[in-house]
Amino acid sequence: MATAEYKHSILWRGEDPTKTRFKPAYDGSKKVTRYRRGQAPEWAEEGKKVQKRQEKPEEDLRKAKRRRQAAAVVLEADSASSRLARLQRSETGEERKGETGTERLLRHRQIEEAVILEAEPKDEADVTEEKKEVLKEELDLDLKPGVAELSFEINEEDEDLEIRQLRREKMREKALSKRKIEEDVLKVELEEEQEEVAEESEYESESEEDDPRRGPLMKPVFVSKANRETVREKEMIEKEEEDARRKKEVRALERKAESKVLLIDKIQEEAEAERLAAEEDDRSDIELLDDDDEKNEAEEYELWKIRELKRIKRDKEERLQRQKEIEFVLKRRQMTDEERAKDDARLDAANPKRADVKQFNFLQKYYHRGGFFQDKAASGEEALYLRDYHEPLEEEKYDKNLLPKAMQLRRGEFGKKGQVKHSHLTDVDTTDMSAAWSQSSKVVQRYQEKMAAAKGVTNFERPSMKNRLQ
Amino acid sequence: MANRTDPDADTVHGANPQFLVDRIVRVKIYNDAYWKEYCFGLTTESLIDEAARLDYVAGTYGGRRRPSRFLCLFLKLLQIQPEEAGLRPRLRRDVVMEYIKQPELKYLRALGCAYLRITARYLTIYQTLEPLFADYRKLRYRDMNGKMSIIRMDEFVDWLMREETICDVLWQKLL
Repeated sequence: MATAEYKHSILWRGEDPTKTRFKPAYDGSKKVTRYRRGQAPEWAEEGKKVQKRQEKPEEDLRKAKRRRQAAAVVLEADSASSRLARLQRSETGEERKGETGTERLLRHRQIEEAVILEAEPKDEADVTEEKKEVLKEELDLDLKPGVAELSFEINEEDEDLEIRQLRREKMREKALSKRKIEEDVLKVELEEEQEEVAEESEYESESEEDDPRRGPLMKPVFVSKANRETVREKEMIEKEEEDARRKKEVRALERKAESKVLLIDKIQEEAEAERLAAEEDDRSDIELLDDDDEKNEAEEYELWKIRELKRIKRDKEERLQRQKEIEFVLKRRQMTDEERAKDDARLDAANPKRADVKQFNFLQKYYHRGGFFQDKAASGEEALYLRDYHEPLEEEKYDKNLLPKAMQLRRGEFGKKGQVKHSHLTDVDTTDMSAAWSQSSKVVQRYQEKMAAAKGVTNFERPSMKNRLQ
Repeated sequence: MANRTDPDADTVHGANPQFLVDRIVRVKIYNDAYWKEYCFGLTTESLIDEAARLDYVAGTYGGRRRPSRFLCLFLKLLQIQPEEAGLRPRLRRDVVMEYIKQPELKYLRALGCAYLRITARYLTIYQTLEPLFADYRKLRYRDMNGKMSIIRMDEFVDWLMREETICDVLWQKLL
């Protein structure tokens, strides 16, 4: 902004904004309520005049802060706000000893009890739950004096060990009492479960066996040695031991025998392995064929004869072939052009070549026959390879120019992923056919010949006087 | 060390005679147990003993192309070159000729033929091997897959004369 009214503009004529001290736009009317730990909020104040606070809207922020800090200090000492004070109060509350459990509950927690429209019969469970709650309250009660005592300890620093010990004992007693109360609670729970699990009552009864005051003892009666079970047991044990010993001996003997047998076997195996190893490795994998020459000598001779004759024949044929080739080459060199043409025709007829390239319809799809197995195609073994793959399909036979432009595509392209805009090359040919040089007229041809210094390339007539004169 | 060609040996076809066998096959032979154990320090005489224990004619066979003993001895022959250099050409091929001429050990004969075929000149080969067409003794042959078959000596010689590769060795074509 370049106006003179803007403070930071170069056209500003007032005071230099860099020199003035920044004062935040503080609106003292709004009151910010801060929360601080340990400090009760304002609405929690009881019997405190709130109006006093409301008289500070225009004061400085720092002064208000200081005051609040002072107030906080004051608050801590105030019994109404601090937890410690509350606890102390509860300790000294003598008027509450005659209270019932329900009155205490009401004092501690402002429970929003449901308004009972129809009185329902209370179940046992509810009663036990109430009992539990009562017990727990007792626990809390025990804690409180303990806590109060702790605070006491902190304050008084010069204490004797004896006093401390006394205190510890008291704590222990309290802990014990706590445990008892917890057990009571547990018992209450157990009473609930007694109906479901009957074993727990047994457990309770077993624990009573530890009581030294048992029932009457059995009177000792004399049993002769023969009838004594203990003696019998001893004898049994001895017998078993003997049996075991005997068995062990027997087993040891057996083992010896077995090991002997094993040893013998092993030695035999090793000997065999040595024997085998002495033989060649190659022999072990395959059975060697018999290459004995004494067998079937006559047959062998016959076979040899056949082979030899075949070889001779083969050699002869090779020689002949070679000779023929040489003859043919010589002959062909001596041929005239027409004879050569005839010879070519004859050879072509003799060697059947692939059929001429078929004329494709407009936008007919080209199918490549593949580079493999063409020897089969050439020899004619496999009928599959003799098929003509350039035969047009039904859909390729009719003129595609009748179709709309979008559908003038090769088969298998329209509507599929392989569809491309490119249809055929001449479609994108931008040759200007009307140009003078692209037309194949005589004038153009002559001109081209002249420029290429190819005058008379296609003229095969003999130069005559007629033309020369013109 | 042990795989060097005999320093007194002549070059064959203008190259180290051992190099007539392809490098891959050659390395396989060098690493073979039979080569290391038995073919070490073989002479022309001890080679006869080894050849007497031959079972079949083969090149490399099996899945990992294990070289056969025939091939190992063949390479050994190339290594030691049983001809004596410096002698007149007529005497040169004495040893190999003996290998071929002897009628008892047919596998040694086959070995000799193979060696001759690879090292000698065309004329020698034709002159020496063609009479062997008359020998129709049986030989065990193990092909590349490890399958054993029976061939005849004249068949083997025929292969030597015509085929390009027998026993995993490339043979020069004869004119």
